[in-house]
Amino acid sequence: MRAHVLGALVVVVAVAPAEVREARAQAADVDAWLALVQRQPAGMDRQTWKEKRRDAARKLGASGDRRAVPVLIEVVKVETFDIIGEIAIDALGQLGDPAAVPVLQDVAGDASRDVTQRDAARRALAKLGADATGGGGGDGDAAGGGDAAGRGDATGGGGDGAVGLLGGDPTGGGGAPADPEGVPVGPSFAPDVLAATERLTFALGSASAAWDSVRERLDVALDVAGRYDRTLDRRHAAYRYGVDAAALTALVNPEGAAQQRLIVVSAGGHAEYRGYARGGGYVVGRAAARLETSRLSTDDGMGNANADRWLGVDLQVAVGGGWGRVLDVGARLRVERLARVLEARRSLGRPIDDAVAGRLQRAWWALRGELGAHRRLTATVAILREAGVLLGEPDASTTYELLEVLTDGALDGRARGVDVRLMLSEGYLHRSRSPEDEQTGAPDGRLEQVLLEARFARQLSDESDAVAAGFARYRALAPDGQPAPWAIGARGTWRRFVYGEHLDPTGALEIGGSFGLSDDDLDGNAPGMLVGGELGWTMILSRASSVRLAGTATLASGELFLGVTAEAAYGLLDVAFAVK
Amino acid sequence: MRSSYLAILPIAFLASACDDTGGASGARGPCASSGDILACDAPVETAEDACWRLVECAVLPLDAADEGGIDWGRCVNRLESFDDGTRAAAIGCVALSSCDALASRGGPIAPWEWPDCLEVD
Repeated sequence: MRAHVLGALVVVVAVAPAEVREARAQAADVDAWLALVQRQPAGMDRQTWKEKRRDAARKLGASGDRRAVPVLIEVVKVETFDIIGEIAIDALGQLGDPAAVPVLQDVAGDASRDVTQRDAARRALAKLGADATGGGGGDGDAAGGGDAAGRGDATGGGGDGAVGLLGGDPTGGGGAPADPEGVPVGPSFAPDVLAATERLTFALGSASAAWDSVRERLDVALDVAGRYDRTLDRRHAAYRYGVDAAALTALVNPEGAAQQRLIVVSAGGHAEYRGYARGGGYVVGRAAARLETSRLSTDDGMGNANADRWLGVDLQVAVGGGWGRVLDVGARLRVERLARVLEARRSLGRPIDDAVAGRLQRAWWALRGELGAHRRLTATVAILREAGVLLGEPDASTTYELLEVLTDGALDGRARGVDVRLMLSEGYLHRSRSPEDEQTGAPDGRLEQVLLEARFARQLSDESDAVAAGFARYRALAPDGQPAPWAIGARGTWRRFVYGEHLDPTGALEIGGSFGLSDDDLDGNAPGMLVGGELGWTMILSRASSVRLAGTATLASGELFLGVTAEAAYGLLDVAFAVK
Repeated sequence: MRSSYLAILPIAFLASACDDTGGASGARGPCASSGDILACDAPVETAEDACWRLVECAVLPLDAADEGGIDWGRCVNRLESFDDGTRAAAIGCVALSSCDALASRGGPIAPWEWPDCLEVD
């Protein structure tokens, strides 16, 4: 026994310095692993780094060093697809720090995550003795809840109210946050989101200043407009809203004796909410408001001046029911075309599944305000490589075709679905004109209407679609002596987009038809009818040149209108050479 | 940018005999005097588009009952007679204005007057 004790003392004495050395060595190793997980070392190629990074994350989990916890939490938050996310989750379970519980609960409840990550998160939570459901918010709801990860509007960094409806938008009010590889993550859409769109346009329609040498006068015209629209379709609810404003001014001969000045200003907004039941039926509510004013002043230079002013205010609501929905599926078509490009180039490692398609679209969403397509291209390639969809580095031709897909405007606003609705509208319209201030013939005051709308859109391929829309309206409850007009109409168009060998847009064929029937309910006005068709072909000859030919035939209230339009824009060449 | 452009070459012609239907004949669009609730946004880019919109809004008849009266064909001719800048402003004005605003001058009340948008010359 004594011999055993002595032996133990010897061992302790002999081992203690070695443990100290090992602890110091491990501390240095942990620092190195942390650095490796956080950033790609200079001089190390990407593939090597990714492998070493995964290995470092495993070692951090085994190290027991809690300095690794915040770093691994960050990895779990942003690495939703790479296996390092799963490794980091396991490592957090090993480290046993309760600080990791919230993020692990988020992952466990995030349906957009890969199932292996969610399972790993549940295992890690079990090791930590925590409940997988936590106190998080789940999918987010129409009240703008946000998800369990705290990506809701509370942490949206200045995002707007609609952002919360998407389950949180980490893009907030600034640039898109990126994962460690520079790929923007994009918003975290709730799992039941079917489609979302956001459009902000500001158009300087025309600005001109022209000198008429015959009449010796100067004309100035300016036309500006801005518009914002947002839509979100979820399984059981959908909304859309938007605002717009536009102004136009024209000054004819402002410096001369005889002058004319025209100003038109219009601003409005609209909002719509649909609540869906099983089977696709829904109830709908819509509201619209508009303010419009114009002023035309004329001075003939001989002391005769006149000014006509117009003011219109619309306040309207409508409620009703309908069936179906029409969604913008352009982004999804873009994803499908990316897969076709890679397949044709023998670079498709595996099909683009819903998870990868979602990540691509979220990245594009995050980059929606970017000028140019460089970041969209690099993010797309990174995501496709990360997911194993893109095999190897894309060559120049593949890269070019990917870029063509990402910038193809023909894939914008492509719709799919059927939507039919019947609504009853109540509104107040104020119309006034001065100086006459007389009845203008337009409804003034309360206006009740029955409205029927129908839309149909089908994508025949990613290069062809067919869309149709119809309407009917009837003024109901018109007071005695006031007309009760009605109108119905429909329009349909088939389009085919044509591309060159490397997906360069080369043309578009368009065939359309329209129909309308109406009655103004006024004495002396017969019911009007219109049947028309249009055939158009746009040929894109080069980057600077295109030709559009269109023919129309319209039979309207007994009159036959035939029209031919030819538009051409060409540029011969645009090239430069410089020695210095 | 060293490039040049051929201007738009619109050609449109009326190919039938006149049909006196009286009033502002023609089929109406979805937003003729219905307010903004239908959110109509038909594109109006050319003189023909603008004049069709005026017919759809019941501002102009397709074919005037009176000799020399204002109608679709004379609307196109009037816009084509404007210089480029004024024509663009007039077409933009028609595109921007509601049907009720367009009908507030001329139209059924005073079919001998042009709407404000076509008075800028």
